[in-house]
Amino acid sequence: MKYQDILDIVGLNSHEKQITATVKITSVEDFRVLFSGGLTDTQRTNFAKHIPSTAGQENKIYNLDFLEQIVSHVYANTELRSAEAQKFVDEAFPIEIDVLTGENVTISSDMLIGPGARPYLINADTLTIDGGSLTVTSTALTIRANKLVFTQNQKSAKSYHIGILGQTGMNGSKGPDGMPYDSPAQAGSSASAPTPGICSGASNGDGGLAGSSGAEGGSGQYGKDGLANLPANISIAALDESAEGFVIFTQSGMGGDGGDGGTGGSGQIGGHGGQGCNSGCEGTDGGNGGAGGNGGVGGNGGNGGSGADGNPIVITFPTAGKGKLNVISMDAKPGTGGRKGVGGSGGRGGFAGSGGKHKSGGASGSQGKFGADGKAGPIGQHDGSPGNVTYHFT
Amino acid sequence: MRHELCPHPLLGNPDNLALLGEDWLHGRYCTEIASPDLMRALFGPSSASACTARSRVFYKSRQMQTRQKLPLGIHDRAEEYIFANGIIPEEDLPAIQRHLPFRVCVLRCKTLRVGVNEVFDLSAHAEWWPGLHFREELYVYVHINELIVEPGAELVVFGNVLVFCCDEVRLDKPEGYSARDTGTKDTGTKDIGTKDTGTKDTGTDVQLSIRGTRHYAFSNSRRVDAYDGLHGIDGRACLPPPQAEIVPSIFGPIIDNDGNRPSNSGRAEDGGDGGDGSIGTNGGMAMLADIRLGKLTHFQRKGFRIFGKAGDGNRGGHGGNGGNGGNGPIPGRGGHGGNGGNGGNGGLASNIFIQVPQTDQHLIDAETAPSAGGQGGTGGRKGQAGQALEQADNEDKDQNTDTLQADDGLRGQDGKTGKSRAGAEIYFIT
Repeated sequence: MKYQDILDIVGLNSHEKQITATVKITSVEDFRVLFSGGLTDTQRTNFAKHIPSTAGQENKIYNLDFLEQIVSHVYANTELRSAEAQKFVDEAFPIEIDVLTGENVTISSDMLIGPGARPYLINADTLTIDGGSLTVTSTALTIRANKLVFTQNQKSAKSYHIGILGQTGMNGSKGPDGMPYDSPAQAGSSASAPTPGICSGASNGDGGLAGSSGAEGGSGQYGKDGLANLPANISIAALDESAEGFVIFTQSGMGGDGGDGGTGGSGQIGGHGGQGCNSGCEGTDGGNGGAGGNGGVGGNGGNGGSGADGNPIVITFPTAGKGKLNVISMDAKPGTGGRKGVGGSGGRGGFAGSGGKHKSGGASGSQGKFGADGKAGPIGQHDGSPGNVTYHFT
Repeated sequence: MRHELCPHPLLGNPDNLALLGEDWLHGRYCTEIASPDLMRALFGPSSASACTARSRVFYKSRQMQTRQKLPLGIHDRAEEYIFANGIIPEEDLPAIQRHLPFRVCVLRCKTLRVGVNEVFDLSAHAEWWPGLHFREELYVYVHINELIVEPGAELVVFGNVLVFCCDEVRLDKPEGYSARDTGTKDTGTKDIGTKDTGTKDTGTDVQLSIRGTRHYAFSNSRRVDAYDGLHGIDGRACLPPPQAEIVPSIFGPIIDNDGNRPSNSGRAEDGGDGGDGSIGTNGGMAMLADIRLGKLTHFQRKGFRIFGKAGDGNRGGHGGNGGNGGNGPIPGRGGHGGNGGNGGNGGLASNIFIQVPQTDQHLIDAETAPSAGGQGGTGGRKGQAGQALEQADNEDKDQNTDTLQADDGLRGQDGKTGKSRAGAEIYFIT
């Protein structure tokens, strides 16, 4: 694919200096030319073999199983197998892509594209990396340059020139805390005088009921699986002799961390003891306060999400510069499990019922015990493999 | 400085403690008296005219009249029998029987000196009689031949029936004493929340204080210390249905058509109402005091102050705060604050009799103060209405948005201040 061919498709004129434009692509055929045109049959075949499958994933992010068909259709020239996939493609276009183009394109800062941005295309006669870098996250990327030049006028904070990353899955939110009670347990009945002034024959105050156990804390949400890095196609025709090394880094999306378990609810306050009879100078004993309820069990931490397997990356590079191409791949780590929810505190014992004249009050209820802690969430099920890299040296 | 009070009380034998007409053993000790008759014989006024004079005014005050309708009136009638010319009605006898024997702390000595600014607490305490209920009525009998008091001295009794006999009370200023040495002093009443400690004005030399019990008074409706209402629980939020999830694809961001939309009524929970604070307890009662003074020596006019005041009522419990309403498309109402409990009433006060020669009456500054009602508990704060969250789904927006505004709760009402009670009536008996 020539520099000018790309411009013709995207409808832009050549400029000496770089321009950035969002352009509309009207058909999947044009999109295929822009993003996978020029790939060899070997690259396409290899690409098709390494498209990560979403089938069977428990925690997949969306219900679009046919997306892998579409990726294969664009990058490996395979046919769309399902009518659903064909319908999706038909309805998706026209789409917009972002284009950075010019006879001289310079990356002099750390550019971040994504996550989940419009497809990104760099089309340059000469691409100069001047101490900058380009990082795309879960965004399709194509770079086409007739010549790659490095200068060191600027300085990058990155350890690579091109980063092809997946988006880390969302962390799970904390489980809800157990709801506390808004009232104590039922109080004991108070004794009353059978006859005014006489408490003989009257009962003591009844004991308050024991408080109920606190509500369980909610489990933390699962961390979501990471999102895959999307395909990248990097095609460099020639490398400036002064180049020391061209570093490409890829890592698919890491799993999100599980949410922490909610704290168990406080135990219910025990019922207050009933008051003893009191009339005239007579009285009966007050009832005992009910025991406070035990605290609720803490919620379990949420499972961590798994890392996502990455989409393939194809690189076309001059044979002469083979030794200067350095591709670093890392596994996408799964998310950690959420922390266990702490057990709720025990409810306060009910107040002792007061005794009548010259009689004893009841005993206060005992404090409830702390609830058990929940369980910590497990780490995500698996790492995500980095996208397969296929080389074609020219 | 305080005097130690009966740290190891002696339990006297009422059979040989004091034969009628005999003197009491000297010292300070506890004893028990079996009957009202013996109480009258031992502690009642010595002359029939003095008894008659007391009975003439015993129920003169409105408060004492009102008390006759209460169980408390049984105690008053028994005390009138012991200290005046009353008659115990037959129907009172069973109730009185339950209080027998009478518990008396005796302080008998020939001479007692209370130094500059010293406070001598005469009070008897229920724990001195093992197993005795803390509310049982206790008596203090004091007989001192010569009470020597220095400037700023105070004798005080908290909530006991007091019989205070002194053949002579003599003011004795130490050498080099200056009136400036007598400042404001702590009568030990601060711990029951009394605002007016009855501290003497500068220049007043000595005070005998008749105060309410340190414990709150018994009341059928105010039987435990006031407690604050529980705070209402915040309503839980109801999150609006989330926007359709945007996910990345090779064509750029696309809408996830998972269709897994949460079903949700959109109504958040209301905040819980705060609980009401309970009513405060009544101030401690001041009991009858019968003060018999032979003569007062070296006092200036109104130099010997006798002050009576029952305990102030205690504060009512604060109302619990209302919980905040939950946030949501239809937000929750704020909970109402709980009402503050009413303050306890001031303590009641019985009569104070002062028997002193007419020639010395001008040396006495007798005064009582009403007991204040306890402050009402503060009403709980209102809960705030939840915030209205925008519906994500257009089809849910067809409701009138005015109806989606929730109201704040109402602030709880403050409790009323308890009733103030009149101070004791003071009667001079000659």
